[in-house]
Amino acid sequence: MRVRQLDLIAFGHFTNRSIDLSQGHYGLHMIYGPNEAGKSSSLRALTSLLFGFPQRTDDNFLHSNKDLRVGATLESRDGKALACVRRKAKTATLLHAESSQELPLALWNQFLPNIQQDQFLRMFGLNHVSLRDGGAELVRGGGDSGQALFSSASGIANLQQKRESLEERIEEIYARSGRRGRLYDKLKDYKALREEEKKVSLTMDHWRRLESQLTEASKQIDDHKTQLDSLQRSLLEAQRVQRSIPTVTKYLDREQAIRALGQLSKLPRDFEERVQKAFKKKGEKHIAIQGIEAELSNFQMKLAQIPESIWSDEQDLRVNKLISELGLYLQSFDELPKLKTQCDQLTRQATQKWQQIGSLDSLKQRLESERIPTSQKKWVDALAKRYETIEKQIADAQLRLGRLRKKLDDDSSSIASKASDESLKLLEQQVHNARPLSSRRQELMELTQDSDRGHKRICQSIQRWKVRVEGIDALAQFPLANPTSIDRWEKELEKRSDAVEKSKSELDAIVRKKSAKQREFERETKKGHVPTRQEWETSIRSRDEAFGLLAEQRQATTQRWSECVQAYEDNKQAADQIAAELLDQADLVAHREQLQQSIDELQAQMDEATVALEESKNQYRASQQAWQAFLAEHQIDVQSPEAAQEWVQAVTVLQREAQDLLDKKHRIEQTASAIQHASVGLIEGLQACGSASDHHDDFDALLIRAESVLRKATEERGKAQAVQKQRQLDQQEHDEQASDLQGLTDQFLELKKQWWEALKAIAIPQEATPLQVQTILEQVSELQQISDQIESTQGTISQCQEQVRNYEAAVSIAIDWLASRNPEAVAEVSSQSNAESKVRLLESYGKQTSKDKSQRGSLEQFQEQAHERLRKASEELGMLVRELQEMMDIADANSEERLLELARNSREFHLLDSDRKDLRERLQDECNSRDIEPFIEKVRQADADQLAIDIQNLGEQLVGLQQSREQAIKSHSALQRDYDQLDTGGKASMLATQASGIGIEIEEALQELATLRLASAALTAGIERYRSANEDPILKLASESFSQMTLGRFRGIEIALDDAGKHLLVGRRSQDGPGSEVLVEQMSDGTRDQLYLALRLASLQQWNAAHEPMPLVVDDILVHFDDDRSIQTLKQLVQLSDQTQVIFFTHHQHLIELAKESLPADKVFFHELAAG
Amino acid sequence: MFRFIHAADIHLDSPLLGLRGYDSAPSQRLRSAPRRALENLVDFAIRSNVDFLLIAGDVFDGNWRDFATGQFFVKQMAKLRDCKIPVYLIAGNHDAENKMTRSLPYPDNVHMFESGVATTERIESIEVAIHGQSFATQAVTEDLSIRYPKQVPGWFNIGLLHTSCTGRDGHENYAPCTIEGLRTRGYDYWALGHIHKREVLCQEPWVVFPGNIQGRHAKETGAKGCYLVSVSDDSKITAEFEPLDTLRWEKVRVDVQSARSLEDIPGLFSTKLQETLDQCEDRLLAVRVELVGESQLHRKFRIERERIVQECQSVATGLSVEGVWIEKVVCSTRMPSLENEVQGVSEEAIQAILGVFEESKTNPDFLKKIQFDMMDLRAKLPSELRSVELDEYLDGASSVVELAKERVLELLASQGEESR
Repeated sequence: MRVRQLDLIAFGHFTNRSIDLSQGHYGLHMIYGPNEAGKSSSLRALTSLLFGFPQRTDDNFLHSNKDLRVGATLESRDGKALACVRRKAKTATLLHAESSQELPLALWNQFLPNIQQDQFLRMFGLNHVSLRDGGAELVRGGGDSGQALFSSASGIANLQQKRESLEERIEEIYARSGRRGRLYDKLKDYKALREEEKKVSLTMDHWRRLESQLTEASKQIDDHKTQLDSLQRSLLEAQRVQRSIPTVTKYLDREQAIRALGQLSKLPRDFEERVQKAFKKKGEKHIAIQGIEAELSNFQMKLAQIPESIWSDEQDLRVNKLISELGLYLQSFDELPKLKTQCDQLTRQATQKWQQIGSLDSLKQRLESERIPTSQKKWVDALAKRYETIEKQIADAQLRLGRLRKKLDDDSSSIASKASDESLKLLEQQVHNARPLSSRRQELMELTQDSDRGHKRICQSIQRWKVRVEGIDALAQFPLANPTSIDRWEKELEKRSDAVEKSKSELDAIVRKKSAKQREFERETKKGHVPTRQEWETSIRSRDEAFGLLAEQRQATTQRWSECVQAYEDNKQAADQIAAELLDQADLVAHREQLQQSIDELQAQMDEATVALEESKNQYRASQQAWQAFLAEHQIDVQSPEAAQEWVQAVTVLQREAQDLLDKKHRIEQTASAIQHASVGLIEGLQACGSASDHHDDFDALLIRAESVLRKATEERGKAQAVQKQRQLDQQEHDEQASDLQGLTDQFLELKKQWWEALKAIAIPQEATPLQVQTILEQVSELQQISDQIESTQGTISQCQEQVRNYEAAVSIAIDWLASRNPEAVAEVSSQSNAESKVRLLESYGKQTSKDKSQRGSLEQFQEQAHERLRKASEELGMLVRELQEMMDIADANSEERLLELARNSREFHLLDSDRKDLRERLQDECNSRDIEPFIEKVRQADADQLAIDIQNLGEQLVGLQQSREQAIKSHSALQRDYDQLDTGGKASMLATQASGIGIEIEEALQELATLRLASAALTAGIERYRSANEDPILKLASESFSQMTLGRFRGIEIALDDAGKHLLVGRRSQDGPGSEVLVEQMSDGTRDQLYLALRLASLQQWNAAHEPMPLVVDDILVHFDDDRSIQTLKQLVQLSDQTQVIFFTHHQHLIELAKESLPADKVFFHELAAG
Repeated sequence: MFRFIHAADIHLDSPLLGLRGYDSAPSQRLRSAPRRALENLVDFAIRSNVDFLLIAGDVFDGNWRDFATGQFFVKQMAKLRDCKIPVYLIAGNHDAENKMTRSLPYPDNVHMFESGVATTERIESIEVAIHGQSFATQAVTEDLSIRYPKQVPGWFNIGLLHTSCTGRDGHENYAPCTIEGLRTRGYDYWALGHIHKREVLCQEPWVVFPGNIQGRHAKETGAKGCYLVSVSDDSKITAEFEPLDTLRWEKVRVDVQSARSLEDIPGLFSTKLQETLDQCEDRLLAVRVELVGESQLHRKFRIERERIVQECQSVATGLSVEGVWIEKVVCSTRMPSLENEVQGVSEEAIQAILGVFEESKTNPDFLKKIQFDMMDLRAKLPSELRSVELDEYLDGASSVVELAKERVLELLASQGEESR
């Protein structure tokens, strides 16, 4: 691919600027631009064109992002051209230059093979920085020829880094030097865990050893215990003896004292106490008897002072009863006046009632003789209620009957017929027919409007599309061309046009090639005159002619012989010289001839191509004429097939619309006719129904009127029917009501008879109304109630009077009883004014009598108790005297004084004996249940001082032994603790689990390491393999380039082996001998740049041999080169430009000058970017 | 009617393999997990008030060195003695391998069968005869059941045997026997041990492997425990499985076909893990994650396995406070297509590199030639880590070659990505 033209449409500071790169076959295009001229922008523009705009760009300062555009015309190896534009957008960034349609990817890929921007820049982009970096990479590779060449050839220049990254990963896992890396750490952890596991694991021997030690320690503790027990026993015995010495001494003293007191053992221990107690009690009893006797005298005196009682139980009951009934008596006494007043009031009420009843004398008489029975009253009540009910029912019935009669009269007058049924039926039928047309009328209007609009539109379209028809009917019938035929024509014309374009393009290519050859030929010609074969042949011919002339002259005369000979010699020399020149410059001649031949061939091709082009044009013209005929035949007024296709489609649509319009018009006519017919029918119907109308009325108005008339007639008819129906019902109800009224009247007459009889029975006149009767009866009832109350009150008064009388009689009886026993008291009682005072006084007499009686009873009871106590005390005294006598007998005492003395001696005996027993018990305790006598004897004979020394010795021994034992216990505890800690709760298992986890990680790390090592080794081997397969041609090409670039100072480059057998890239100087082999790191920076450039150019040549060539874009790579080397390098680029386009950007004017001076003008083309 | 428990393969204090540590891991619970399983067995026996307990071999691990483990077992047996539950056990291949097994001071309720000859123990009160024989050596290759005593007529006869039966994958073929052979003894129940996966081989008579009581590594997945066997008065047998494990191993398969990047993996895994967690109650869980399905990320999965482990572990920690270990992430995914994945490198170069891998498959000395040698590292490994699989890696097995090839392709592809 090459770039024919780069269009900086809107990019950076460029607007519609183009760089023509079409000169030459591929050509070296040197683009000069001073600083700020836009050299870098152009470079970026080219990259953006090929790979799209970067997301962020600095080239939008003049043109906004959406306006950024870079265009180009590209040409593929087989001569195909493509004009395209790249825009900055998210989608559809690549467009056809002409159509602005998105460029199909497949088409783009024909020009730009599947290559990424990075790769493009790495392989086909060069600047002085990348040159220097490339050189540096050569040094970093240590002259590793395999890597260097492989990198340069394959475009994966950073593979070395990738391989190094693999190596870094390997080192991370496990450094080859060891002792570093994840794996090393894990292995360390693993081993530590296994060691720990071993440590915490309990071995059987360890367990046994510990178990044995534990048993031994237990046994030792037991032995110590035995010895300790023995020592403790000895010590305790000695201590007991020591402790018992004073006890034994006391014990022996007591025994001696007891013996001195004699035989007092028969007297009991408490004898002295009992004796003392008996004497004490005897004295106390004497005193008590004297006290009781004094009490008795006192009681006797008090009893004598209380008077005798005159009150009897009967009198007591009587007075108590009077007291209890006193309240009732007082109540009755108080009630009597109130009751009498109440009775008087009731009598007055009765008199008033009688006055209200008035002049019903018969009733009065009747009531005076007897009361009206309740049953009779109820009967009269019931009759009165019925009387009133029936009377009200009759009145209601008469009222309803009156209303019904009036309604029947009204209904009869309102029922009347309005219109005849036949007329209505006719109108109904007409409305039924017309109604569907109402909605269609709206539709008709819309259709008409629509139709008018459609008509107008179609007429406009006919004019617009220039369809040669008169009217819409003709349009529908217009014969249209078949679109398929137009397609065919389109393809045919396109084919013809493509053929012409192709022929033109081929001709252009041939013309370009021919002009290139022509220019080359002219350059060759300019190098100096070289005789042509024609000149040589002319010269030979002249020589031969000269020789012929000479021969001729020789036979004729010899006059001009010398002139002829000279002429021959001259011609011969000229021919020889030409021949020699031809021989000398045979290559040049051959080249010129070859060029000429090529030019001729190209001329021939050009002629052929011109003929072909002409032929294509003719065919195209013929097709065009036929196409025009086709258009004329089908009355199509456009030129191109696309337009024709569009025209046909448009007219087809128009035809469809015209047909639709005609259909619509037909429907309009049908509907209008139907409406007219329906209007006439409606007018007839209305007239029949008596509604005035004429033919001027609108259809809708007619229909509305007809419907209205019909609706009204129907409503009226319905109403009349309803009234008739209601009248029948009313008549029926009227008859029923009349019948009911008659029944009620009969019932009322019957009731009246009963009513009169009932009034008669209670002596009320017949003319009394039920209301009056009820009022009289209510008053009579009230009168009777008052009478009853008077009777009841009078009864109560009698009862109260009786009660008062009875109570006062009972009081008199009580006073009479007292009269015979206490006349003074009777006088006092009788002097009281009322019964209550008398009873209260009697009550106070009763209470005093009871109090005296109670006091006497208590004194008599105390007296009795004192007698009893006296008797008891006398008995106890006797018993004490007897007890003392018995004690004297026991003690053999002849007097109470002697008894007391013996008793005191007995007490001392018992105290000594008790003390002796206590001492013996203590000794018994000390001798620990053994026989006590030997112990007492042992203590009696013991030496207290010796005993103290023995005890001290034993104590010391005991302490020593206890310390030993404690030590043994401590040892045992420690062992036990160790033993208990033997089970670490499965810690060993846990450690093993953890170790297993790390083991898995180790395994995975090893697997990863193996994978990476193998990957690295395989990658290295693969690189080497590829290198050896590819290095030779590259090396050869690079070697030549390098030699030329270094102006022959280096013969070339070679692959050498280092001491380790590794391939090395070296430069070979032109002079043989020591030092002719130069390692990469020994080269100067500039030489290294040239070496790297040589390798890159060689790699590109290699690439171009097998791939679609890509333009090499070079940006000022010669900044570190001197002029000579620059020229040589430029020549290399010229050489490369035979294979691919080379675009060389520079801002060094002198490089342009150098190139112009040194490089062939037909291969190098100069362009300039204006500054600013 | 009587009841007994049939357990086997306790492998007490056997390390749980493959559990790497992580932050907030409940290490204490993990530490006690294998012992808790035995405690669960003992507690279950006491709670169920069984008449006796059968242990069909392999109480301990073969390379068991911690005598405290034995002491722990003895203590647990003593608990059963206190509850008057006799224990009948035989030594399995692992017990026979370990010298300490026979040195333990078992309490008097534990009866261990002899190794020289099959003998019978009788429980008069319920008329049960238990026949058994311990392994004398680690590798017993003859059919021990042939010489088991004849049935005691009218009694319930149980055969206690450590055997691989007709052979099972992943287990040494020790004391092989056949169901037909076992049937000839006329026993009612064969209590087998040695196979760690529970299985009822037959119900006429009952021939049962209860499996081990605690899974020890990722291949021993699912619930682990014992059988509670009830025998009715008319000798009708029912066997009910009781889980005893405190840490459960499970495999979680995650289909990653829908994943667009590695960031999608935790979400997909979370859903699957929750389903597994729901079935495990409050047990600790050790999970092997297997990525399956066709995915463009196939190589990334294989290379970034460690990162995926970490992320899955984070998800697991977030989902369960009880503790979930991610034992390993296994990548069983497939690459959809190899075409056009490497860019920026010439086809010839790629072919040259791939050719190296191809050659390594056919030429055994080739790896040496390209200086791939891991033997320096092998020498530094502890002997117990030198497994056959590991040796294969270190020797350059085909799996490693494949991984290395993928790694290189990924490297070249990543270069392509960079250039894009």
